[in-house]
Amino acid sequence: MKEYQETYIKNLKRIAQLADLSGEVPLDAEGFLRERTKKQEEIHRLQETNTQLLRKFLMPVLDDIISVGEAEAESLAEFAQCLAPGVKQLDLVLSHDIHNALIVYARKWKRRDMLIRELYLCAMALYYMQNFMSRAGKRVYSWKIRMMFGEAASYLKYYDEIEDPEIRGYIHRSMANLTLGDGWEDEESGKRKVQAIRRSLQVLTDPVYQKKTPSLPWDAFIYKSHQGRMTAIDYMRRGYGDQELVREMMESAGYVREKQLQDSIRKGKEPDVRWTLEYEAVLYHCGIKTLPDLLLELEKAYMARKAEDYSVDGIWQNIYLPGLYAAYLSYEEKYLSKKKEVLCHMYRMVVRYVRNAPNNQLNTNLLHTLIAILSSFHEYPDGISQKDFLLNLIACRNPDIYARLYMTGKVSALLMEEALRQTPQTFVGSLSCATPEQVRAKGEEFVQYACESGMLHDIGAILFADMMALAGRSWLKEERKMYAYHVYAGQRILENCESTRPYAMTALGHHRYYDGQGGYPQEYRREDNPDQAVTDLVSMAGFIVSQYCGGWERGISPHSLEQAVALVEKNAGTQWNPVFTGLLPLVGQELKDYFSDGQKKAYEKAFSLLKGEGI
Amino acid sequence: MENAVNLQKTWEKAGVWVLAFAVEENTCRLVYQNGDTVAGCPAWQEDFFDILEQAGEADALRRAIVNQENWEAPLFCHIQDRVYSAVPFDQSGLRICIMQDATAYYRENQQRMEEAVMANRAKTSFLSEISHDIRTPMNAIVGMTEIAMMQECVPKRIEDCLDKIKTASDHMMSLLNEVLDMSRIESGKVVLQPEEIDLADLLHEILIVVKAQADGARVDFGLQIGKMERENVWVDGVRLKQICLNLLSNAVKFTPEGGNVRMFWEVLKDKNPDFVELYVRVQDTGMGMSEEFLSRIFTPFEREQSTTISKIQGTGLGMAITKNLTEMMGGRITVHSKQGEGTCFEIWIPLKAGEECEDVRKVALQHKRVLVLDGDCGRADSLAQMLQGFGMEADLAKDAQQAADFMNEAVFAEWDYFAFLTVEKVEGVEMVLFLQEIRSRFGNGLPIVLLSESDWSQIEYLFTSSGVDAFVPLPLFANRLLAELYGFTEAGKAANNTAQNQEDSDFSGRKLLLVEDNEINREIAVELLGIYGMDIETAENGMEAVELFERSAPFSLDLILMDVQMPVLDGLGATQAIRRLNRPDAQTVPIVAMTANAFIEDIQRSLDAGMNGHLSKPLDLEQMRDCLKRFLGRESV
Repeated sequence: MKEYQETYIKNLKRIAQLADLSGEVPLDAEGFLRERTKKQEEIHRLQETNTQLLRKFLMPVLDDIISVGEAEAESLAEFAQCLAPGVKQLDLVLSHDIHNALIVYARKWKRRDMLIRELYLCAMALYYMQNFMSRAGKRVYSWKIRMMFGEAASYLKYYDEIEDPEIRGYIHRSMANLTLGDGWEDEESGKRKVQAIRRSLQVLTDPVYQKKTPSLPWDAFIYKSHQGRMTAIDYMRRGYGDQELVREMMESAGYVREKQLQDSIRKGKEPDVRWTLEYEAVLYHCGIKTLPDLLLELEKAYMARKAEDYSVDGIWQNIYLPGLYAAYLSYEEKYLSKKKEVLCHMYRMVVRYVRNAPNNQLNTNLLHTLIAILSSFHEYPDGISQKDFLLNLIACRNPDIYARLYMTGKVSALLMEEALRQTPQTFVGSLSCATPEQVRAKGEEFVQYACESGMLHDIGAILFADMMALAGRSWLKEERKMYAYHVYAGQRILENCESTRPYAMTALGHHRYYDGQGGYPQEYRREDNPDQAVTDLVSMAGFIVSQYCGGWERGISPHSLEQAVALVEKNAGTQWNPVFTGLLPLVGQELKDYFSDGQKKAYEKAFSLLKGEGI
Repeated sequence: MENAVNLQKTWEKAGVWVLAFAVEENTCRLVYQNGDTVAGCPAWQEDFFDILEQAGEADALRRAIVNQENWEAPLFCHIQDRVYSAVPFDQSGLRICIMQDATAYYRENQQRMEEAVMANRAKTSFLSEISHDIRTPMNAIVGMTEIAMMQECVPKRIEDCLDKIKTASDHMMSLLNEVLDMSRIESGKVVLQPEEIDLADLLHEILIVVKAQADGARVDFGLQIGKMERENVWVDGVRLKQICLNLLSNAVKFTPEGGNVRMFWEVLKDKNPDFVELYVRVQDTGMGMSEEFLSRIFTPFEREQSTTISKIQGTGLGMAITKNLTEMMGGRITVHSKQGEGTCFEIWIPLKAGEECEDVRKVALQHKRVLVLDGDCGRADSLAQMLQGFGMEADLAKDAQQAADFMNEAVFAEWDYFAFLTVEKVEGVEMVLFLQEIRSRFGNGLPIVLLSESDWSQIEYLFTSSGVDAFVPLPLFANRLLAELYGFTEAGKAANNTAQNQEDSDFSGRKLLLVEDNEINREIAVELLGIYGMDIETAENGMEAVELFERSAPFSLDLILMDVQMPVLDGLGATQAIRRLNRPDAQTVPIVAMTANAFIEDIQRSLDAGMNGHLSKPLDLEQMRDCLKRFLGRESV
């Protein structure tokens, strides 16, 4: 690798270290903030250096990628691989961009082996990029992933001419990954996936290929393909699939189960609980077992957990399993009421487990597993609500985002109080109010609503926190595009339950301009939102807070309150609702008072929640 | 008239009302009514028929009188809160209708009917749910049995048991599927989803299934195709396939070994020019049906009672489903049968016609010569006729040797075949090897088209890796063959490439300035842009670009694509210089940066310099098209 590449990677690693929040909950918010500011300054310097390095050394090369020599191309390939070595990514998007450029190079100079490898690696990078977006329920790169894997796989016809076993391996992997970017959501893409796995297994189990390249890990390829096929239970859950798929699923489940058992005997360990349950789920979906059978298996696995185990497996069993259990309960509604006590118990245990987490309250795996169970979260009238779960248990696990949300909630409430005094008519239509008088009569409710909207409006950002943490340089265009999907992620989470549904539109629309001429997403139409005024108000409050706090990961330097307010006032009527920008001079002093120690208090609140107070 | 009067006298004390009608062709005329005698009902004080008119019931009664032979149950006429039953009969050239107050009877029966409807709905829902629930574990039984059957060294006895489990569970599955289907139709859950389909593909899919069934039952199956006024139509393909397969499966099932089943397809013109009529006839030499059963054949769960039939598995739902689906499509179905001789089903379904095939395809194929390899002379001849109909020429080879001779002759005479059309099986040659040979000899320049009755997805891997470029299902339909062959012409390739975005991606006549210092990059960009038919000028650095822009006539340039890092003057400097020029289009001409550098602040810098957008390098077709659409197309701002 070249010197700039080594420096760049070294800087990335240092940034990752500085950004890592895991460890004990800080005792003192002020000290934490001081330390954090120092770290952020260092991060910022490193980001600047990295950006300059790329600007000076990499971008000109990528600009004229066709003209580079072979050695340079190989050095780039090595650099790209170091940036995203498998699932541990340092700089995913840059890695993708370099692989993409190398594809052009390899095509132009007819370097077949390089082309196959780069197509595979580029498609994998895209797949990981898509993983971020799929948190928002979007599959943006599916077709590109399929095209790239498809092209790499099509070199199967020149198999004999390709001598390098590694490249042959890429062909097989590409074939197996052909529909990796597709989901099981709809019948057509499911069919394509089933067909692709079928074809790949056909080739992988063909003794002719195994004989031609004995050095390839055939067993691992076959095992992975069977595991891939087992994920078709998602497809069957949606009522798709036919008899042939049922047979294949059972075959794959049997194969994986057998290997797991062999492996556990060899290692003298219990079989992996996740795959054991997956096996049980296949039996249920294929009609061999009933739903009560499966629920019983899940309950058994849950009861076998260790409540003090905070390893990856422990987190899965303690947190994810209740989510899975809730998902299966919803298959037959009667079980949601029959098993109410069990599920409520599990949720309570999740809360206790999370609160008791020693020294790793800020563990990102813990956070992501908690977020994952929201997709099947079920609210009972007398049980824990999703709103409480989000506000008191999840959001605080990223103190930076939590502080921003908490402050937005407070500023929104403050602005709402003034707005109710000055222009109650603006909120006619919200909270079922038909007249300004009714709005005033529900004043407290409005203030509370604004506060909670503020705290929940950007909850989607938490799902992208790890992407932001990867930012070891200025953001590229694609990263901004990816990050924009956080609004869908937020909307998706909030829409899921009764207690959070009223805040979903604000989550979707808080980056869209008031005049509809800018921002994102296009799907948000202000006129379709019955609580448009609340969304306008919260969006503006959120902007002021995020300008004040800054976002090193998004390249936003902290501004003073006055600067932040001036930025808002500059765009009154276009980006912001002029009714609310007009309130800013009226609440100037109150804002100043709040911001004097608001940030510190917000962090204090986050830390107190992390210590287990509040829920 | 006298008869009616006498009748009235006879019935008046029984509380009935008599109307007499003279029926002429398709109309009827009231000739008598008497209503003085029945007390207790205000309606009787006036002319009864006038009251029927006022209540809106007279037309129904008139229709019923005219079509008396179709009366299966009494007609009920509603007048205010009373209900009268009408029973007609003929006497002395008149149609007499006796009407009686049947309010109490009607209400009692109405309640029973509602209960029956509710019970039927409950049955349907129960059947649907239970079928669905049983089907899931049945899938497992079928699947597990198949897995067990695939194992090696299974003892004979177990193999036999597995065979029987497989047969029984397959039967069970088909019963469940039919029950589920019927219950879905009855509950109105089946909604037709018409889409434009190619009947060639649909028929091909039907044949794949039915041929296997016929072969298994040792029944001879034949297909005949009549006039095809249109091959692409709007229809719910899945349901049409289901209709045909139900008829064909029944025909195969009830035809003894050695018998035959024939299917005839035709698409005829309809009175409505936007529609065509599909006619399908399925005829067998099977055991036929009794006249008595024919009247019940379309009733759910009905099966002919005979010792032979009771051995054949079935729910008695297939024909009910078929009739329901046909009628849902606006069609009709008839059946003729004679015991011991066979059965003939006919269906007529009106279908919305698809877009008519353009003649441009035939023009592009004029005088192109193809080589056809098919051992079936009859089929080869009709293929040749079809090709001649397109204006093409065909050489027919009945075996591989003859095909090789034709190819050699073409090489010696120094001309090329436009395409090679072959069936998948020809006696005396291993077709896969033969095709590989042709491919390696002629390279990719000779398109190979496989004509096959097989399921393409099952043989695709084998044949495409042997060099086949396209697949045309048999039986052969002109439209399908034409489309595939046209795809190999230059016009067809261009049409395929641009079809997707033709409407908004044609930028021919638009002028673009490409500023790029690297020669290869310039070449690539020109190549990509060339697809859109643009007039492209190039400059090697920013300074040259500014000069070129200055020299061009105002508004003659539609777009400037500008590299950012260039010698002499970079892209930002050139953009600023262009924007500063004193000419009317200096501020408006769109300038788009082309660079691998996609840092947000650098993009912002280029926007600040006066650029309008950003294209990431390496350039690709998709983003290039989006850019052109944005700045030159409809989305232009």
